[in-house]
Amino acid sequence: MSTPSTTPATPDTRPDGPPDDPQPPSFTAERHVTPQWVRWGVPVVLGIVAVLLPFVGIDSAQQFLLAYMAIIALLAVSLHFLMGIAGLFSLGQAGFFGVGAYVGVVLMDKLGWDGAIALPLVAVAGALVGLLMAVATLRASDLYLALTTLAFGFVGENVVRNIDYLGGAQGLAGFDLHFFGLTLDDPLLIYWIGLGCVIVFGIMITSMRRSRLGRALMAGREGPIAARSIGVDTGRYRFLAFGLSGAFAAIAGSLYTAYAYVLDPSVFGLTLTTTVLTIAIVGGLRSLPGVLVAAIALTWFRSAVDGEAISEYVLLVYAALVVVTLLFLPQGIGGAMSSAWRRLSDRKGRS
Amino acid sequence: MTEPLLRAQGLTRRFGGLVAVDSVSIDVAEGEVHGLIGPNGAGKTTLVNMLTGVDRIDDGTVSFAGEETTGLPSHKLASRGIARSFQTSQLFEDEDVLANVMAGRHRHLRYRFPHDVFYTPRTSREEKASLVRCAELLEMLKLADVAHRHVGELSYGRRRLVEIARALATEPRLLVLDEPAAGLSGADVDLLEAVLRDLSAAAYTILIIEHNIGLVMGICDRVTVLAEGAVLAQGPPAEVRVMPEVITAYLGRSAA
Repeated sequence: MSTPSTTPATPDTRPDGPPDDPQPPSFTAERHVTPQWVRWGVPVVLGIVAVLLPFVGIDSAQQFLLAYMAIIALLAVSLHFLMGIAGLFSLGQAGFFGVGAYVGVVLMDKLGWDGAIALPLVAVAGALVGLLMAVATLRASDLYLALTTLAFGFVGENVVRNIDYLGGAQGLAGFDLHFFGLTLDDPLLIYWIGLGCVIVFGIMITSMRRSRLGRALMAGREGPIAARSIGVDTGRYRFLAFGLSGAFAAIAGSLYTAYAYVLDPSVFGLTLTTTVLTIAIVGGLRSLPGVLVAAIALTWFRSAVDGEAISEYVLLVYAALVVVTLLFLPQGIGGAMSSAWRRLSDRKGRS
Repeated sequence: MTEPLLRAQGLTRRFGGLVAVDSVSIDVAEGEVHGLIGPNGAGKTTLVNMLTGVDRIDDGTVSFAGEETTGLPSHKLASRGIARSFQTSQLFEDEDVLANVMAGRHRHLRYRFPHDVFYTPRTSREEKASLVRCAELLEMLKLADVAHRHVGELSYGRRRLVEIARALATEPRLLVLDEPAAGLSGADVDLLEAVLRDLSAAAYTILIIEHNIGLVMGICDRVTVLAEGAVLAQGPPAEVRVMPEVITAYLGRSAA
């Protein structure tokens, strides 16, 4: 134990304070004391509602929309974690997504393994790609980092394009996938798996932010030199961030294959990266609820305009949304929600 | 005589043709407050950066707590018990004061997976203990009232104190301070001096770079004077301040 045996005696340093009375902290870990029912109750209720949502009697198109929302939400949360929490500007989410999609098809369709075994392996594959990305970007930051991660998507796209086993440029279609023996072509099953992953990942991120690991990631993001000066091995946490983000993004890719029923090299494409980047920025990079709201809203918007003339210009709309967000809500939807909540609780506290 | 807590021998750092630190040896004994003074450009910050693993060591050896630590990166030295503040403040800007200080508890939180990924009762228990310790530190540095303010909103002086609080939160065996009083108001300097006296009384070992000679003379047990990258004088402050070569280095030849 390297701690000094003596620590400064607090009462002596406060000549005006009450003597010898061990003081409990006069403040709490959070700025605004959110009541327990809000902190736990609201996410739990929303989670239950999300799980039960398919039972309100929705048609097949809506079931597919739910499945797609869960997949995009999972991918967006993986970017929220990497970019918002760990501060690593990544354009490589489509790379993880594509790797997950192809590994999933090989394991579940070509080899015929059950998803219960295959999906964890997909996560491992995504994590490995994440670690590779961490190695490749070890000395890069900001724009250089973003461009290097972007390259991973291009590499993936061109690799699968030239492998006949993986369908080449035409891709593959018509899979026979299973999850715990159930056929994985039911959109609700895809939705529940995706939702389960979002919930687990969300709990992990929330827990991390309040504990040692999350603060180490924060320190590395806000000031690497200072982070190292308090004993945080910033390189190691970078590996962790890329690995974890890659694992969940890869699962999203696998679920996407099951959802789309076809798979071609375009899963590695820039469109997907742009979409989740838009969601993360509009939702607020640091805010998990904000990112989830944006994922749901933008995916709904995209499907609502499907077939309309405006669907040609979805990316244009996204770009406009990013500009408007950065101009008027730099913290995104999440930042706006939390400052509204703060104002509300301040007002209640005063009255 | 027991081995000093920190022993550096023949430390050298070259930047191109310039020898910024030239074969400097320095010992910091357990429990002492050691001042590092010298005119601008004498190599004080470079020396401290080498001692704390922030800068490379071209030549020489460092040992800490009886173990050779030459060339170890700063996070490894930090986990062995060397904490520091920086001359230009290095705070986690987008976070509040408490989060900055809590980050300093990193090496003392014992829980690992799964407790850091899933918030368990054990996580909660250790976090609460950490919070109590950070509350003490904030009280001590008169920062409790701004615990939940973003560090960017604070005055310059209080930002320096946050940095010291964060360093103390690591419970260091050696606290290295790079010009903590620079830019502080008179009242803040008095507070800093009181804090440093308390730390010294509590047997903390401190290595401090400082230009405020009043502060140095007041709190240091020994001082090392650097000039042009080399050690000019070493000893108790009362002796060092009257040495002719020290006066020359500070005031120029004609004044001597």
